[in-house]
Amino acid sequence: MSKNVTISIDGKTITAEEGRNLMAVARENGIFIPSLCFYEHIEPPLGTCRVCTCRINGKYSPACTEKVSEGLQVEVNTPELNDTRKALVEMMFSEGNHVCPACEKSGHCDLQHMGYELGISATRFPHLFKDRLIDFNPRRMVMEHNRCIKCLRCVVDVKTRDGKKVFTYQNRGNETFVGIDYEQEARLSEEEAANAMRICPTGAIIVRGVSLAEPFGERKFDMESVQPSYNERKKNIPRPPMMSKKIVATVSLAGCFGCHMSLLDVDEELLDLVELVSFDKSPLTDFKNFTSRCHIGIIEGGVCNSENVETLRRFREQCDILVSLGECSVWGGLPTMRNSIPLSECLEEAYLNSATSEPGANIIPYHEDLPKILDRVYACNEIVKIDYYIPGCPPDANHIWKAVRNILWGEEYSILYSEFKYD
Amino acid sequence: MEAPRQTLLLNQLWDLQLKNGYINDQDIKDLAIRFGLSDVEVEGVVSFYHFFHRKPTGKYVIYLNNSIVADLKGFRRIRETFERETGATVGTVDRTGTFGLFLTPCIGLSDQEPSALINFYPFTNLNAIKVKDIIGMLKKGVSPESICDQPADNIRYMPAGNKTVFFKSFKAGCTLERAALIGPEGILDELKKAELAGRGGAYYPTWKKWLAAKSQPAGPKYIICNADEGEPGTFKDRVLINTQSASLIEGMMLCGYAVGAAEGIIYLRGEYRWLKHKLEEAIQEYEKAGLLGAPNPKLNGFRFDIHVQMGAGSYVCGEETALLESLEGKRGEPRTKWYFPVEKGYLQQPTVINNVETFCAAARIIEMTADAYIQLGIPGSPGVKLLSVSGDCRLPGIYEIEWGMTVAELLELCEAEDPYYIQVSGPSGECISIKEKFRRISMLDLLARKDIRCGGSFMIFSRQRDLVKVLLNFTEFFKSESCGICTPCRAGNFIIQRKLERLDNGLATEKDLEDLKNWGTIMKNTSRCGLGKTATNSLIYAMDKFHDYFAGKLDKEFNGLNLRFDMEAATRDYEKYKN
Repeated sequence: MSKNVTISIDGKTITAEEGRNLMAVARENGIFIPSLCFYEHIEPPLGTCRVCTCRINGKYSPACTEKVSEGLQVEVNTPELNDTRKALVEMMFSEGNHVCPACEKSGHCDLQHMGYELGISATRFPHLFKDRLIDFNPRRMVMEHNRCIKCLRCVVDVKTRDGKKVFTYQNRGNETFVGIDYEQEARLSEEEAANAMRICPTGAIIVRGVSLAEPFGERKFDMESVQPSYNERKKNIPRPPMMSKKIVATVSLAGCFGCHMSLLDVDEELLDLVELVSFDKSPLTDFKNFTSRCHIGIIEGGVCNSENVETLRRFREQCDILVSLGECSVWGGLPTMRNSIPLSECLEEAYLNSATSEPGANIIPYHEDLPKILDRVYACNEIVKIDYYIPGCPPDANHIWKAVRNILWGEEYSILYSEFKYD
Repeated sequence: MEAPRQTLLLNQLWDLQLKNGYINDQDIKDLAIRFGLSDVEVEGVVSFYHFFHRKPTGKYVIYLNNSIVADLKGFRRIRETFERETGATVGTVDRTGTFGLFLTPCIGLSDQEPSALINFYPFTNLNAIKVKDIIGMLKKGVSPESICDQPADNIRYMPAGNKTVFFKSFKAGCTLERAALIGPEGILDELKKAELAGRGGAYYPTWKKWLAAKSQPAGPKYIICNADEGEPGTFKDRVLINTQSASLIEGMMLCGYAVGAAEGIIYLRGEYRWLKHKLEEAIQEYEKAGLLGAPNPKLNGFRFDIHVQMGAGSYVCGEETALLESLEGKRGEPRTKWYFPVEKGYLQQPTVINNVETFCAAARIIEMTADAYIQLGIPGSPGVKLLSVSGDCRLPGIYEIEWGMTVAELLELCEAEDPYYIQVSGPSGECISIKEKFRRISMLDLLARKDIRCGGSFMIFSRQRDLVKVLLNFTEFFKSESCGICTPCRAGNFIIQRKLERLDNGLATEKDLEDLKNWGTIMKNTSRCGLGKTATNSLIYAMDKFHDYFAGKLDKEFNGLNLRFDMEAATRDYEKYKN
């Protein structure tokens, strides 16, 4: 009935049964095609995330909705396709409000994993910071709409025993979210509920009381890439003109100094560092002003007030290369949790209505000497051009050190999978 | 037998919406039980269509068109007048619960803008005084039905020498005898010879589609007419339904006869609810004559039925697989290309979907013979095409042109006023500059490099119009009409809008233009259906064709390492706390 056909994926000849799903065939043959919605037992395939877009017989098409047929020519790994896939995953990061350091699913999250596999340090898109509510109404689950990537898995796969859907899309366009039926949700067994949480590729479906907590380094996506060649990716940052002394400046804007702490974690290499570079303006030296032009400026934290804007611009003027260090600096990070809430609400909650403030006794501070608070937290690259991004909360010390060495002395390097984190 | 019943869901929702002005919680629960669904599923369907509401919409529901053509013709003033007269702001109901005022994209009346629907009856060529009168009468209790307009057909041009294909008088049953004579094969041969191709804009050869459905072994098969022309600026199907419903019905019958299907459905867009009655009357005429709903004596006893299904306000349902989902009573989310509709379409059965113009053309070709039809037009692109012309011209309306007419000729015919920028085939189509006015309109060129393929919408913009504002209108349209199922379209349109706003505010640099182009290309390559694939077409074309215009919008000072940042705007919220 079904016959075998020969197809070619990136020049590799593969034999497979005719009519089977290309994505499944690729996986069986050890070819990694990134995807977030594909789930082999769902038929017809979902085709929602589009991350597996390849060139199939010359046309752009997702691998997951392609049936294998004789002579199929598939291109997976071309620079253009890899960039396209990166863009799609970046879109998900910028569309939702994904704060990895504060997410239960961190380390077990498929979205995060794809970010690592594709080496996304910063999204090219503006973060949209759309206000989304969290639905605490279901008896057992919490729907964290900020994290949902609308992959459709739960909609199609999670049903009650009499075949009723528990999840369905609501609204449309950029207002789309996955609605949950409270009544049907309550009818799921514990196992079925846990399954819903498991198949969710992000942390959007959380079952109360079910913990994923595992130590760093032991979580699902912590250590090993699924791509054997991952660690061979070489990087090279454009270098500044050579000068005899290497001068570094650092600053923490709207950050917590955690990234500076991580800087110290390079351990004994710190001794080399001290010999090889000198620090100019930095919390480490406590220089308040620049005393000379610098080779690198390392920025921790995003931009939340007028003083941050000015400092950041000063850094841009004084440094040849600017490096965004850590999640807050890269895209805003944890402080952006305020971005979907009006500033007045934030200030009033903090200064006037908080549990510890006496009614009528407090004011919202305003003085010409105080920096002005911005309407939202901005990423550094919304204010100035940033040359290199080191993600993480905080970033891995080895990652920082490799990047710095590359900038200063041109040593080519590769970041190990385990050194690339968002949390 | 659980599944097919959901096909009735949309109708029941319509009944409730029209009766009560909204769909309440109890309705949702009742419907869920009736259809064996969970509440959230019914809720998901309701929230997909913008003519369904979950809150009361008032006694009179006003939908004001906010498409770009309406915008040119004074939409803003009309909106203000409506708001003042009704006491309702856009998106709300007035305090007395009498008027609900909402915006909706193109309602298919671009030749008589500004226009609105009140309780789904059309009101055209609005001005402040007219709006005042209308609201005044409604307040006195006059029904909208009795004072609505009968939109003019505005058929402005037909091929010279009485060579019209679409608008000749049509005698019911006139195609059937010939069809019986030449048989199903003969019908396909005729269409092949006439080179009829899908007029929805994809131009897939009609005979191929019909043949594919014909060769499917399993039945039942379905014939579906896509009367969901939602592309802003298009209204040709409105005019065809209003004047040529007989040829539409016969086109569908011929298709049914050719592929072996017994049932036809016309999916009529919600905006054309006012045409539903007329269409159903035409179907009844055919039934009375024994040509529908009974073994047809003129067609070897072939029996065919047609009914009308209303859409409920969703542009994406014009995409054929989204339309199928909608027909099945679901959210109108396009399917993947895992199956083609001719294999597994409506209710997973072989299905042919064509639009109104295609069916009308098919009937006319059988009536007049393909040999006569190919005398019109140009070699390789024979026949005629209906265009809906709107925007900055004196004579907006329907133009039945022979393929091969140049843009310049058409602009002259419609008395365009200082044309500068022309949007062909709607926002998802292509924009052309007046410099290209000698390009022909034909279906010759697959990639539309030399000739222009036109789906039907032809919007003219004069030199006074702000191109970025036009593109922003399109982006807003795609953003809210995206079904939300795939990432590039759902997030992409939102992102593109943000970027365009930067451009509009003078904050963009050359890099932003490059980004727009690259991101648009990514959306084009990866989106799930035509909506996302074409949403950035105009933008990409416009940036090439109007490069100087865009360059003039850029911020040149901050092109280096620092980016422009509007500190004043960013600190405005905080400045409120200054004593």
